[in-house]
Amino acid sequence: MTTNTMIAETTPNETPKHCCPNNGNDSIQPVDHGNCPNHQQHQQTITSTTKEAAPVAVKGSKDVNHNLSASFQVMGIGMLGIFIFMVIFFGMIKLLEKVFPVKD
Amino acid sequence: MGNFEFASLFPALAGFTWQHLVMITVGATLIFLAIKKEYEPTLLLPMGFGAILVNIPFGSALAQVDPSGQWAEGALSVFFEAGIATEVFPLLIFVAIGAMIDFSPLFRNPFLLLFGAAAQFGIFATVALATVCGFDLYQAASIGIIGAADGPTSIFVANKFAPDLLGPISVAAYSYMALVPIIQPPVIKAITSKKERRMKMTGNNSKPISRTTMILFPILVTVIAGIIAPASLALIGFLMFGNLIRECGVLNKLSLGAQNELANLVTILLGITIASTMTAERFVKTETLMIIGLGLFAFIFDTFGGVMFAKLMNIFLPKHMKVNPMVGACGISAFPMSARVIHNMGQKEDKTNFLLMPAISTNVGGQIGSVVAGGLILALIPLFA
Repeated sequence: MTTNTMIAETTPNETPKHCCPNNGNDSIQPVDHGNCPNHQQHQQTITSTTKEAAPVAVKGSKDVNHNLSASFQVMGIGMLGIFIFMVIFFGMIKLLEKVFPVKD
Repeated sequence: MGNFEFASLFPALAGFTWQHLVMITVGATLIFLAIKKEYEPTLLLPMGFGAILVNIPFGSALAQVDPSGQWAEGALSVFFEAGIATEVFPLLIFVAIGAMIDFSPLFRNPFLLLFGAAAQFGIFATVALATVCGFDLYQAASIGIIGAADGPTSIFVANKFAPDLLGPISVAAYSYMALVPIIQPPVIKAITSKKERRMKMTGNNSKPISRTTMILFPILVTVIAGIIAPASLALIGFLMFGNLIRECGVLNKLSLGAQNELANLVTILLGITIASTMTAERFVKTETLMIIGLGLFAFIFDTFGGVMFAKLMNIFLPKHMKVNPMVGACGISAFPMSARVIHNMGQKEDKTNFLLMPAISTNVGGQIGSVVAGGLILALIPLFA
């Protein structure tokens, strides 16, 4: 099977078949690859085909406790992250003003 | 037999359900709000009309039967696949917004950038509340980002994390942006004293800024954002690209084109295409009402976060640098609506209090802050979900 036929045979709604183990991607069914000469190409094809599929909602955990605890962690890191960005931008503005002052 | 004939003759009429009627009423309400109240008419009107368009049973806007008798995608589905699923429409809107933003008020009062960070608090508070309401972390983040008060960022994040909620999130985001003059004043009044609201702010509002600085700023912001949070690069990069077109001084026609033609064309397509997700099956759910409620919560806590941060800063700032706490509330992205609201509130308390310039500076900081927040949400959520 060539890379091209692999693309042609795989539609967004089908689970693509692959000659190699799935590398942790559950959407790919592993089949025996034997001495597949196009192993690397297949891996690339599968990755790109999976990415091109129609947008589907990403499913996260429904465990409220886990989600709540994760949301507080996101809040802490997120707010800190935004402040760090802003402080960097503040410093950058000050630096730009110093390096490139207005010429009269 | 009679029923069969009626259904054959008028399939649309026979296919109507109460959910379709609800959605057509929602569409009509959005059109009413856009025309009569002028609430974000550029977006709400196309969305309202689109909501009517996609809720007429067997209509050809979403899917149609081709001459060979096969079902084929309708125009709105094609627009959705091409413009929303690929994120092209929101990113093009960012180019247009970038071309509209003048960062010079921010350069005159750069420390007000920090309020653009504090007023994003509502996003994260809403993510937490949404998880308590039973949404998963991806959905909760998409709902929380309504608090960015930035339509394209909301669309961008929701499309990545919860495309099934794109319709209600977009409606909530744009509706509340239009309702800033109604939402912010009571929250601000509840948490500030009359004395605080009368505080005057001094600042150098006419300081000239060099052209090199204005040109380098969007380039450096893009590079820094890309290095620290690569996931935010598309959002920030397109915004800053638009701004670079504006500031470079040699692409005036392109800048005007981005501000007018590009913004207008993409806005029309964006509004009506988002409406393709507002079908009765997707929209008439308890989840929609929860999203509308959580969106309001996000705006309230944005305002709360900004005002409280200003109060905190005032403890440490010298007397001549103290900030009117109301200005903190402008750290959201709703530009220039929020700045105007705060200026008017200041004027109501004291006719000689002119808060417009610091409020505008903070509001510009909010525009950057909301995009950064969107980028961080995109980067952080997959790590914790």
